[in-house]
Amino acid sequence: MWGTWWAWDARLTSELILFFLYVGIMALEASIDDAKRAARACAILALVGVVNIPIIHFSVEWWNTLHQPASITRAAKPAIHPSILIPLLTMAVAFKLYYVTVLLMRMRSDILEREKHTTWVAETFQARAVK
Amino acid sequence: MNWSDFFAMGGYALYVWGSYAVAAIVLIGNILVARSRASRTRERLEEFYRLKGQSE
Repeated sequence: MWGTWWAWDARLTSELILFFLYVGIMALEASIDDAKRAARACAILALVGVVNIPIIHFSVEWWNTLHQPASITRAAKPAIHPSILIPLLTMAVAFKLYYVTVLLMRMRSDILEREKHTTWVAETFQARAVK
Repeated sequence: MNWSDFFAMGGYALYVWGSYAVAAIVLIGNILVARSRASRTRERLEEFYRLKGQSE
């Protein structure tokens, strides 16, 4: 237990920057009217944001602040007791699967919307309309 | 250990169950938003092709 909800800790601060990047992408997406141009601008900003990922990962090693050093992804045995590690990893996998599910659901709508002038989407919908 | 001890979470009940509540709301809300978007997209595209079919 760290005993605080916020400190200018390296991990917390680099995650805060990640949060601002997410907010920036959402604002950028909302501020450009043309959907295709908005998507391209967001993709470039996302590539810039990738720089932050290794910084977050190594933040606990480079700066020795409040957060403990890596406890799962390390060469030696994880520093977490199996009674916590197994549920933690199970739920981490579950959240990833949930994320992929929602991503695919939203992507399906997006692809249909964007490709509505193509023949394959037209055929899909006309075949359904005939039935 | 009895149930009221479990729910008290050693004095951190508000944080622990608050986190569970927020996570549940976000997880369910995300699915509902994606589903309503999918059905709205389907309706819009059906309308689009219906109008297109009429004009042709």
